[in-house]
Amino acid sequence: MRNAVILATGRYLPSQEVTNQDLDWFPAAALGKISEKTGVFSRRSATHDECTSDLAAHAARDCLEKAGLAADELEGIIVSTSSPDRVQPATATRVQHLLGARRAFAFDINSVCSGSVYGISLADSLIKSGNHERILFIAAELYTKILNKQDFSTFPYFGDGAGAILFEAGSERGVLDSVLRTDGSACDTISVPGGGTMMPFDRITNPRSAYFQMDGKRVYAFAIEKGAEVIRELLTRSGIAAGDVDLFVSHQANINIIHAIADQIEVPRERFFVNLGRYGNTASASVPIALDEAIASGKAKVGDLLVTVAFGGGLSWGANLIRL
Amino acid sequence: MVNAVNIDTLSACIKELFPDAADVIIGSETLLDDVPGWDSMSAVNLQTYLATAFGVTIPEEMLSSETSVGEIIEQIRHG
Repeated sequence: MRNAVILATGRYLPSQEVTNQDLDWFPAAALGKISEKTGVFSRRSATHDECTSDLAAHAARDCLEKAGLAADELEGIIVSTSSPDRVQPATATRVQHLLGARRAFAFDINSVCSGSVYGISLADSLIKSGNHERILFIAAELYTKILNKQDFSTFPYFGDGAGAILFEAGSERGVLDSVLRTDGSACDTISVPGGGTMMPFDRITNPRSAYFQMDGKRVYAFAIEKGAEVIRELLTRSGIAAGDVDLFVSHQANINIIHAIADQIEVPRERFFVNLGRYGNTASASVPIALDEAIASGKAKVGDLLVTVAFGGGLSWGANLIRL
Repeated sequence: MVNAVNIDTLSACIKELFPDAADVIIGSETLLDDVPGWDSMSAVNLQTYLATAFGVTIPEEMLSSETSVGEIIEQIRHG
């Protein structure tokens, strides 16, 4: 069977580290809540001049270097981002230019935090179509520029970063299956309300509407329920027991969500790769970044069976079954 | 100024902080848990806002989901 095989992965995290203690404009007594409620101890912040495509290009170069591949050998570039450079054109177009990937088509997808599993599935489908041999998927997010710095219910959660996965046509190994789900009736649960056609800039009356917002309680319950549910669905239809999965690479939203999903599907919590303590929630970039770190640290090896799972705005969620 | 705080002023504060509550009727009996978007993290936003606006620090134990908007008003008025 023709599959999208992972040839290499890469990542980029801006060098500026911002610890919880650095968020000293919030009440000192509240800072302890951040790690307790989220598991986040620090995050990375892009510089004033960096934009999302810069982060994406760094991650892509890291990935291409590991693969020993020149950018002009790419056929297509998919960028997942919910914090794009601008409303248009696609962030991916500047990434293509920065890389010098002149032969590659380039476009964006936006499935917010679940963009990673959607992008992996999309890259797999493009390769399975038989029309493409090599697709670079990048997830890049720069949330520190779309967050309200004064909002304790969002700002401490997130960080900036990018991850990349290079897929090539192959067989046996690769993306074996994907499940993607959306509940658009809950599309207001996570949003940046202002600046689009629903609330153009000249109709923003509450300045907070220009920034990222989420209903934290609702997201928490949704993520645990659907995260566990989609893993079960993916594994059941593939005839694989959760215990046979070598590593789960989950969206790094909140340590309590990751632990609850592990408990619900009855696998040891240690089977879930975790790095959000250092990077915070990097939205759709979190899974590719985590995957690259898991490979680099030897926690994920060639031949291992992996499940990637993500959930977020939309509300959308999904999972991929991958033989590394 | 603190004595002038009433349900209208606090309702306006809450609606500014919680845009999803824009269409919700907020009365003295409304529990903080019933405010769309309310959670233990956003509680810090309300605490900070009230400290800036009225110079009153609401104790953290009062910012629980079971506290009513009326109780917050009383706390602001009488410290």
